[in-house]
Amino acid sequence: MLEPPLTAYALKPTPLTQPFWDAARERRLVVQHCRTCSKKFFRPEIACPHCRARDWEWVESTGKGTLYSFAVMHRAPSPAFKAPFIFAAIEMDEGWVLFSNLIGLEIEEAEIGMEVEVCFHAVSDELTVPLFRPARR
Amino acid sequence: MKPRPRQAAIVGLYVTKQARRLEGRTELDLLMEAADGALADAALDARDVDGAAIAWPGPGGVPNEVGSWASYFKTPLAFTSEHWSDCAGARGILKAAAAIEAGLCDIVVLGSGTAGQFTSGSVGVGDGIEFADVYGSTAMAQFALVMRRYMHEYGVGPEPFAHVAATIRNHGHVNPEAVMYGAGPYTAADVLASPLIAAPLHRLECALVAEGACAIVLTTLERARDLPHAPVLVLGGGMEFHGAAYANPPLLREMGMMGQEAVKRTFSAAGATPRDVDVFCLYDAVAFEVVRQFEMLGFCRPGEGGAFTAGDRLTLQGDCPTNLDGGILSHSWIGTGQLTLKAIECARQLRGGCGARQVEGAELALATNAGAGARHIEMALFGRA
Repeated sequence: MLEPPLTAYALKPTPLTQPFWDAARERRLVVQHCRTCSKKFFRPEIACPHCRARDWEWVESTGKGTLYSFAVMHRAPSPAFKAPFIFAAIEMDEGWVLFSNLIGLEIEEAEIGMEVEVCFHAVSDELTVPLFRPARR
Repeated sequence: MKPRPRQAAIVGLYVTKQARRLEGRTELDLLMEAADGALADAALDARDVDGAAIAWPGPGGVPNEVGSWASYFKTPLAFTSEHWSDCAGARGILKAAAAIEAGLCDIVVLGSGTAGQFTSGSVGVGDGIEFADVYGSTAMAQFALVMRRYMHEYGVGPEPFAHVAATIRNHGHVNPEAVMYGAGPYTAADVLASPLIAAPLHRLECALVAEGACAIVLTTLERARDLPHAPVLVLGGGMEFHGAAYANPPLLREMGMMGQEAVKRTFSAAGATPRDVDVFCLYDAVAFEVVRQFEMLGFCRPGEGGAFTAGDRLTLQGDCPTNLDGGILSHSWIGTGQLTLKAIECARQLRGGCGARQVEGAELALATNAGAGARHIEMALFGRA
């Protein structure tokens, strides 16, 4: 069963990205929502990449999505990661995409298109990362 | 094609020894050897160089400040590039050529390399890519995302990519300058039997990490006519950037055919088509990207690249000789210098004299850098005068 791979990380958030990490510490997944075109976008940007408007707000995501693609990492990029792990691209039902790790399943069970949901891994007091696991039915 | 006024041409080139490890060498020491070597090849004097597009890692000068080369070339320099990708590959060459053609300078030395930096472990995609690094992102992992989705959508197995990896590695196997010289020969089965790195990618489908440097000299065609080697013209090029590299997930629906606009720009500038190309030096950080780029170039439809690159098509005997030096899979990978190595192989093939791997009568050569996983691509087309 795959567990959270990250054991330590010195996060360097910016004023723009701080709200995302603050929410994650409260076990909430948030995303920017454009008040002008009503689309969501990620990573954090000052201007909406869809319509260029700067009038946006952080909103809470449903946390539901599908596994768009993944790489099974047999070699850790640094000693801070426990290999093997799954590096994933998640496509959220709300139409935005993000990188994450897929946990809570065996490697062989990972399948493109599978339904996933957000969960949280507290790496340290300062850092909690949103991860994904198979959606509960 | 009629040469442009002040048409830029490559007139000198040099590649240092390439190896897994170059004991006792520093990056700047290698760069000075490469710069001197390329200038000697061009029969030009260092004090005539008024354009620097060559990385300055220090020590001495100010690290990452290319203007530091003024003391080694000409003072004052009339042109410098930014330290990183502007000093390498198609991007660096196109900007240097544009500077020469715009009259900003007359002789540019371009180069980069690496030593003592990547001695073990995986190559990450750089520090500070928030929302990627915390999940263990690497360059290989991001290419693997595109590759797996491609295999899923088109129902393609791992064999076509293993075949391309084996083909390119076999080119390096017989290139005495390649880091992996004599390490083969390889079959697709060997590639598939090698350890998984970022599955679906096997180790033998992934680029090397080595040490070394390389440099080229560019000047005007007019000046080039007085120099010893046949000039290699920078006929055209193109670039595409789809946001910051490795920062957002590369989706197949956006990246599958990424580069088509750059292809159009490159070939329309040269009045040629991809089918006119005699020598392909394509970005092969992973073998999958070579397959994808033949689709991008219009040789076949999306999903059909594996069938297109089957058999001996990418060999010297085939109609699309590709990465005959062994590419970055097998010849060498030296930081951003790997991008320039593509252009250098193009130039060598166009000059002639590549020995056993020479494409007879080669007139057009294409170099590409980066690809789908990186969400950007740069390419340059070279030809004989």
